[in-house]
Amino acid sequence: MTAAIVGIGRTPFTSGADVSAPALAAEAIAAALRDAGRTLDEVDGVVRFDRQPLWEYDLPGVMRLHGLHVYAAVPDAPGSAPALIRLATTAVRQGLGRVIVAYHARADARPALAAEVQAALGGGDEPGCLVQGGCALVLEAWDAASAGAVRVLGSMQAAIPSAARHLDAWRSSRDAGVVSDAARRMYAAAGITPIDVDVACLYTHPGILVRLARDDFSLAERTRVNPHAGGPDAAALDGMDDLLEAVRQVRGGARVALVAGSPLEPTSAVLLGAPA
Amino acid sequence: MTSMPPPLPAPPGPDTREFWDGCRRHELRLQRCVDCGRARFSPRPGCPWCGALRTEWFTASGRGRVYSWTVVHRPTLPAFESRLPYAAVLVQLEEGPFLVGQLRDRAPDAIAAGLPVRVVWDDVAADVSLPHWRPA
Repeated sequence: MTAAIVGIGRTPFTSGADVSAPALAAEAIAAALRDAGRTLDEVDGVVRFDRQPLWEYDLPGVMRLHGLHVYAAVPDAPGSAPALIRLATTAVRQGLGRVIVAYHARADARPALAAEVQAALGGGDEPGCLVQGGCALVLEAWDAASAGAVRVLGSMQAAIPSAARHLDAWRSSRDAGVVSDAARRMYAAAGITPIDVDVACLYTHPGILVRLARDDFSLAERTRVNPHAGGPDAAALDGMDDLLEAVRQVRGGARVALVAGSPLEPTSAVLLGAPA
Repeated sequence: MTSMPPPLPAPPGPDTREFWDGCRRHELRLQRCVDCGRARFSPRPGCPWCGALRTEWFTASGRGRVYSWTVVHRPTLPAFESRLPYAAVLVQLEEGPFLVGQLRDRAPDAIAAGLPVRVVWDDVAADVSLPHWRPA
């Protein structure tokens, strides 16, 4: 049994608005549940980032999520958005929960990369740092999934050091091929080769990080990269919007979509696919 | 050591600003769910009763009853030493929500559950007022 993403939701992305992260998260969760055709009462699990200001034990008070029986968190960094899907998939596959919501919101500004890190990356810019917004996805077991559901074909995590804090250790991890090895294992477990990937949503458009991810995931020429790039919202909200874009791409006809988090910190990726 | 200033609440955020602005004007501003009509406290973006996210603010009556209390004999902070002993009360408002505060103008050993109280305001800083309680 595998898991499927059955609903997505997000708030408008803003900058400098007088809005709280819990309010944005609640709005995104409500939107994702509407998209999935599910009610608050049906949700029995949530996964979040560990520094997300709205925790699972806040949710009953904020939006009457009274039935949470499985909940967990991944490291709060833009490498971890796909890891939320990996975690939710695990919960679904183990039968720990039936309707799992993955959510993330932020209302504060994310600090820009340190100059030293920028320089080590070849001066690549990291746009989308100032976005406020919320994103949420709803996951269920594939058997129970409805039309419009997007299958989770595979996933990976790799606990590489933070480039911002330990640049030398991060470079050592790259030299050791930690991320590319994990990517190979993900492809193999899913029975997919890089040439099968129709579209890749990579954190962060269109900068230097995309080049690292192209190498890590052995992307072929035919793979469309970041179709959502160019707009001010693209790749924002710690990579959450990349997940939503990949779901939209599969719903729109792509057969295999890759989503990869930032390769500058503990990172992760998922392969999403069409039902057929 | 009674000159120690009292600790102040965390600076207001988007969800709590209306409440603290109301306190400064000596108005008890609460949220009410537009969908199910129930009042709630503390301020937050959605309704714990029905889950709806549409919210309106209203000014509460400032009346309620003591639901429970405890008498503080030892200060956790020096700023509260001059008030000892004092009663920290949990008040259920007429509108339903619960608030915590100090009970003023009543000896701590003369409190009973159900005691009718009304809000009094303590201007603890130029721009910060806190709701406390006294017998109605």
